[in-house]
Amino acid sequence: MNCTHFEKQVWDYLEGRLSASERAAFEAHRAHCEHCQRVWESAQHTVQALRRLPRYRPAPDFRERLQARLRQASPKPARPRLRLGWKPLALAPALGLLIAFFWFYNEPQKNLTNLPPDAVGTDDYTEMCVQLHETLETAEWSPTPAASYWVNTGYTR
Amino acid sequence: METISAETQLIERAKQQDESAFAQIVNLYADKLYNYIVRMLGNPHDAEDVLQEVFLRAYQGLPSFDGRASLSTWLFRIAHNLCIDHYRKQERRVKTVSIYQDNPDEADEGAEEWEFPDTQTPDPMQAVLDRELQEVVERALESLSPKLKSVLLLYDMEGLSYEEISQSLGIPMGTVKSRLHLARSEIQKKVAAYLRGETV
Repeated sequence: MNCTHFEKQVWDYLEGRLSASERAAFEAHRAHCEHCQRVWESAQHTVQALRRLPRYRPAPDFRERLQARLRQASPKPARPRLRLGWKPLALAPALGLLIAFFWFYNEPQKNLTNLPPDAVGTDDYTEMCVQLHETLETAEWSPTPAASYWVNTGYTR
Repeated sequence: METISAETQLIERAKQQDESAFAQIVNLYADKLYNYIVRMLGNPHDAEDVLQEVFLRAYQGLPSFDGRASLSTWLFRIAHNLCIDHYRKQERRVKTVSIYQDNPDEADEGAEEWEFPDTQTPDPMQAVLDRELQEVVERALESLSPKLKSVLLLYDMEGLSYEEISQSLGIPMGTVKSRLHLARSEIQKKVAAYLRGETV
C-alpha cells in the first residue's frame, strides 16, 4: 500500500467498510508512515467533529405558525402523470416527413392533360383563355361560335 | 418493517386530510430538516421560511406521493430543492456577507435553539481545544460548495444512507460517494492545518 491508496481508504477504514485483509494492510502502512499517521489522525478528528456539531432546532412557536399557514392552504388533488418521456419527441421528425409526403402527393395538381396540343405551357394556356373570354364577351351571342373560337381553341365539332 | 408500516399508515391518514397525522409528520421531521436547511443556507432566519415552505409543499403534494421513496427521502428532496432555489436567488442579489461571518456574536441571537451532543469533557483544556476544532470544522463546512455540503450534511449529520442520499438529491450512488470523499477531504485539510498549529 502506498500513501495515495491509504488516503483513498481512510474514510472507509473509519467507517469499518474495509475487509480484514485491507484493514491489516492499512494499519501496517500507518504504523511505519508518519505522513499517513497524521492523515489518519486528522481524518478521525474531522469525522468526530462533524458528528458532534451542534444541531439547530426551529423556534418553539414554529409548529403553531406552520399550522396557521397550512389551514389557509389545501392539498392539491393527485394528478395522473403523463409518462411520455422523450420517445414521442424522437418520432416528431418522422411524422413531419410523413405529413410532407402526403401533402406533396395529394396537392391538387393542375390537370394539364386536357390542354390543347399546341398549348405547351401554363402561360400560353392562360393567355389563350383570356383571349377566348374576351372574344366571347365582345362577340354577339350566336348559337354557332365564331370561326376564331375554333381556331384559337383547336376544338372541333 | 413495523416502522415502514407505521409510516405508511401515517401517510395514508395524512392523505385523507387528517390534521393530526400531518402534525405527527411535522414533529418527526421538523428538527432534522431545519438543521439541514440552516447548515445549507448558513442563516437561521431564512431557514424557517424555507422549512415552512417544505411542509406546505409536502402538505399540498402528499396526494401525489406514491411511496416509491421513503417519506424522509422525499422531504429532504423538497428541502434540498428549496435550498438550491434559495442559493440561486441569493446569487442574483447583490452579494452580502453572512451574518455569521460579520458578527459571530449575533449568530446566537436568533430564535433557534442549540443542542450540543455531549460536548462536555472533564478536562477544561480539552474542552477549549474541542471547541476550537469545532469552529474550524464549522468554517470549513460553510466554505464548501452546496453540492459537497449537501452530501456531507445528509450523511454525517442526518445519518442517511448512500442510497437515501442518492434518492434525495437525484444523483447516482457513485457520485454520492465521491462527493462525500471530496467534502471530507476538504475539511480534513483544514483540520490538519489546525492540528499542525497553522492559522486556519
